[in-house]
Amino acid sequence: MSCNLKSYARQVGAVGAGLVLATAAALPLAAQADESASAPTDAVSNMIVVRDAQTGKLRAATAAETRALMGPVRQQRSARLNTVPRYNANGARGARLSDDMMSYSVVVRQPNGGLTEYCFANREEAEAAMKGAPLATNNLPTE
Amino acid sequence: MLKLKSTLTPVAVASLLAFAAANASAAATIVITSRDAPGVGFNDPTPVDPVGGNTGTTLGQQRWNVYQYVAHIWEAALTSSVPITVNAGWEALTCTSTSAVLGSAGAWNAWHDFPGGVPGTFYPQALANKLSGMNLGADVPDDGTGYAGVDIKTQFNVNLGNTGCLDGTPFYLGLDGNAGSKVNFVETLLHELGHGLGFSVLSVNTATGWRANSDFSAYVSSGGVPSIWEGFMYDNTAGKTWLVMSNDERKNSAINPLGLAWKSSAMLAAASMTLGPTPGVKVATPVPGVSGFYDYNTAAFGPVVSNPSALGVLANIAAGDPAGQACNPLSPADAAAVAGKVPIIDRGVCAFTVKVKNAQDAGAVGVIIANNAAGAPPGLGGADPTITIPTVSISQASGVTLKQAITDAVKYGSRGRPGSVSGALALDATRRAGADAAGRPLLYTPNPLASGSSVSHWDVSAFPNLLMEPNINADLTTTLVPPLDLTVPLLHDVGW
Repeated sequence: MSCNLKSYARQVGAVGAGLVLATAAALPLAAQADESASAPTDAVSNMIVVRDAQTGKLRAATAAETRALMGPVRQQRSARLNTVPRYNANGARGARLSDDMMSYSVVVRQPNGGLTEYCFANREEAEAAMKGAPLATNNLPTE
Repeated sequence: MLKLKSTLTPVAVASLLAFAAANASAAATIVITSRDAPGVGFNDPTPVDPVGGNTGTTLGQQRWNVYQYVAHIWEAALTSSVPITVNAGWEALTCTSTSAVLGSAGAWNAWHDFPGGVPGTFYPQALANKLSGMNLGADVPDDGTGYAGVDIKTQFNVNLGNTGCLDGTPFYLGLDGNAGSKVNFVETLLHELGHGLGFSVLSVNTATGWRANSDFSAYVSSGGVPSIWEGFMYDNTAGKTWLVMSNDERKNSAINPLGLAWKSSAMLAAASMTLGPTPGVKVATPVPGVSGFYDYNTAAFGPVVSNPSALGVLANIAAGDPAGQACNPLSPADAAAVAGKVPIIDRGVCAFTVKVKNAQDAGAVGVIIANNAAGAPPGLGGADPTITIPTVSISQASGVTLKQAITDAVKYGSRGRPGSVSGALALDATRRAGADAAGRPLLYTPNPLASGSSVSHWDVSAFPNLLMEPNINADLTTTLVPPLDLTVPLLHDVGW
């Protein structure tokens, strides 16, 4: 598991000028947090240090500050999916997947009138193609 | 019995039968259920004439017949003691007058750690059911849709061909492959069901290299569950499979053009039966170590180049022009150098068509554009109806080698007949089109990660065209096994 210090600092900066990450020692613990959790717990808040906007001194982050700091980081480290967990009595685990994760076929009429059909890995790519994003074999470079 | 579009030779038929015999077992059963409302989709009562072996007399019947026809193809290709369930519907999907989402399909449930599977590995439900011998989705509670536990969900565009939705170009619902200017629904559905059955890396986000977590609720940077595909996905640059790669390595591998192959002994044999020789620029010269084949790409302008065909003697023009090589009419010296020959011109600064036209005006009989950055030879875009000479592109590295060889070749001849470098388009029988140097078929890994890309397809360099390339080509058949296709061999590798 890794935690990108530069990215973390950038996320902290986005929270507000009054909050400053004062110690890199907080990073490894933060990186160990459960990625599937939607919000950090108070149990980790005392490991995050901020500079108080009024006193200018370092102190442990409040739970609210920790949530503000950690939320974006967790988003960065996990991309949530619109799925439903599945369990089977034999111990198997799985999920119902979603329409977003399906393969999509798209057809585009080319300037010469011919049709070109593409298969995309998910809805996002297919929708992008419909909006004119470069496709695999047309829109070739011209120089 | 329906007549399939096929180009099978007797040898091909024998190979196909041998392949089928080697994998003989009970065929699969595919059960399709419709979720369409009365009067819609499969229930559309619009009268139509029978077409291409499809005897349905309503639009809805013909749509249903195509589903059944494609299901039968898959049933014959796979084995499972557990029925494969497909839920199907016709819906209004995104359209413009010149483009449309045709449809989508995919595994609707996925499982890991079931009896019969590789532990700690995600599979699509249809395959998990086959391996476990039970319907893992049987006890899934209904979520109000009525299809919560199915293996595969599909939806296709009910408006295709109507005004505002690829105007005037509907699905071709015939079963004979003669789609003409329409969209061949048989091939489209055959391809998309292939993804749902297991032709998909499924649980890896290729943009990040992250895997899905245990309950598939998120892609995570660590602790994710690998896909059954990953042990077969071998990156020739990294020298290892996705199964043992870091996130960043998988991410990089997904955009390693012509670098990611499917590695298995069975697939190696299947590819050797299926993929043809690789087209290349065949170079002949007395300069040691230079003769041989060089990869090339084609141009959208000028005459269509065929293979095999002659190009001619290669030539250099002056380098270092800040205005770009051949971006202006050629100097007298360059014109003399290229007259009756094929200059190698560096990419950059101006349009390909400008370079080629200037060379043509100076008397060149063809042009080779050398890329100005690392990577595969680029496809050359642009339009100029006055260009009449053939143009191809080569990689930057090939350009460096061949330009130096043109200079070096002179000393290998006589004063009156200097040595030269000549080129022709030819087929390299030692390399298979769409395979790596070891003969393993390549997965599609363009860089940058382009729309339409996904490692869950064969590379577009495969020849003959394969069903599971990202482009659904017009020359596909409904045969899924060697010597025409590699879909079933891949599915066999993952457990089918």
